[in-house]
Amino acid sequence: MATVIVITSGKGGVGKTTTCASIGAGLALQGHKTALIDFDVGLRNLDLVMGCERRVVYDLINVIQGEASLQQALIRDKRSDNLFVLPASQTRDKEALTLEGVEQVLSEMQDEFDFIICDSPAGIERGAQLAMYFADAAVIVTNPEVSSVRDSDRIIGLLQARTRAAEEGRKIPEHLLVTRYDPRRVDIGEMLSLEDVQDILAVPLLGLIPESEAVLKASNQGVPVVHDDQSDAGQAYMDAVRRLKGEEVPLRFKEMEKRGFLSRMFGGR
Amino acid sequence: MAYLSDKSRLKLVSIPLKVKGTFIPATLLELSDEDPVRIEEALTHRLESEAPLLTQAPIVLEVSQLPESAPLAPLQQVCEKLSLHLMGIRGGCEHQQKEARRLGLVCLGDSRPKPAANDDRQYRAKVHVGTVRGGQQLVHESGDLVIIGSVNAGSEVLASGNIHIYGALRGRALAGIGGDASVRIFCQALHAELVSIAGRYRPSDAIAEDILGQACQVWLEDDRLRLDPLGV
Ligand SMILES: Nc1ncnc2c1ncn2[C@@H]1O[C@H](COP(=O)(O)OP(=O)(O)O)[C@@H](O)[C@H]1O
Ligand SMILES: [Mg+2]
Repeated sequence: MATVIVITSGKGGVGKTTTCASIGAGLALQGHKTALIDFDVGLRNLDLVMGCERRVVYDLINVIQGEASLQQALIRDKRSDNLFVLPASQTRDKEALTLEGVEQVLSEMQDEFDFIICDSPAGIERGAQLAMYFADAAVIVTNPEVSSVRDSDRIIGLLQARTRAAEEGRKIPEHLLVTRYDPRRVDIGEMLSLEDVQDILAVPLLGLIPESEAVLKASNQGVPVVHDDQSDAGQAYMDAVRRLKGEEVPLRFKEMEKRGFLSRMFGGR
Repeated sequence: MAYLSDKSRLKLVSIPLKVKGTFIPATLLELSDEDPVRIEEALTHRLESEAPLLTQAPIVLEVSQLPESAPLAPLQQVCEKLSLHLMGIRGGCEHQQKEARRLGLVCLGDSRPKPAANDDRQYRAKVHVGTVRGGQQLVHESGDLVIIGSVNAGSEVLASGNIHIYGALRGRALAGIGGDASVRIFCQALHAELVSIAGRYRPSDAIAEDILGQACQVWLEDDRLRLDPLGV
């Protein structure tokens, strides 16, 4: 039986797709058979971040409407044999994404995979609710700024009310992932601190991903940043994957890096 | 500045009716004669001396001392003639009670009236465990609301009684929604978007900066909203 994890946030552009790619790739690196489903109909970009956009033939909606089989639509990752991507449709109407259709696709995947990661679209409407409905766990992606925290708060409310688990009286585990964290901007009060965010959202922390140039570089190359084990963001994502599996991993990248005297003198990085 | 006055009242919850109790003042008239003529005479005499008691409150006729055959219609006519508001009868046999109902009168039992005991009026505290999230609304129309957690921005908690928040208040809290001005709001850190007691309200831009973030209580003093820090 697969564990279905939704990556959600409310607000757009906070790092859901980046997170979906890196958590998925991280789980695959650890030997788990994993599938990533892009629910962002019309704005698909998980395939871009995963670097498989030129191999897309069929998508989620084709499978729901019976125009393609799951086997035909799932794209195997270049780097990991046990990682697959089910892209979103770029052209189809959002209405084609139905609750019954999603349920049917997920149940067909249940026995094949260890983890199914759902990349949610932004917003709190239908698309976001469909992505979360069948989840067994949720990762709430939040940037340390007020509007992102508020939107995440709303999403947590929906997770507790509008999921199958909630309707059956169960509560799914919620994990907070704070991304694009810049300790320098926190220090000068331009961003909320990690403590502020945790205080408001009151959800256990899965990880802290620093603002990092490595993310943009990785996205442009179509390689999830978690593969870049020299980068801060790559390491932070791997820490989060370990915590997701129950390991205890100390928190890193929260404080400003102590820069040496020379690099301060010459402004090096 | 208009927003500073909390004279205008918020009307956020409307309740179409309320059951207030059964203790309505009524004058009980005990009859020991069934003859309408003699009763009219006696009543007319009484009206000259004890008018307020008889004319200002509705009248209930105690009929248990009358013979079971005594008809009620003539007695009702006497009351009408004298402009007395006959409401019902107390006691009487089954036959008389049936007649009374036909005449549009209420039949009260022999027992003393009981206080209203509707379940929905019973004053109970409702306890919510967990954070109240943006977009959520928690309403308790019959008592205190206790929240073990924070009330986040974009959410709203309402109660007819007091509101106790064991956490931060970042959203809206409205206590005394049924009109009770004696209730209060308590919270551990005030960052409210709006607070209100019995319709008197204050939005966040009218809340003094120096109290922000403090544990405090919100209450009404002489119809004016007060926000005071808790403790010494
Ligand atoms: N930790 C990070 N550091 C720097 N840029 C990031 C980071 N996480 C995400 N980004 C950038 O933010 C933008 C939005 O990310 P994306 O994952 O597409 O967000 P979403 O799916 O929530 O809309 C992208 O340009 C991405 O490269
Ligand atoms: Mg996205």
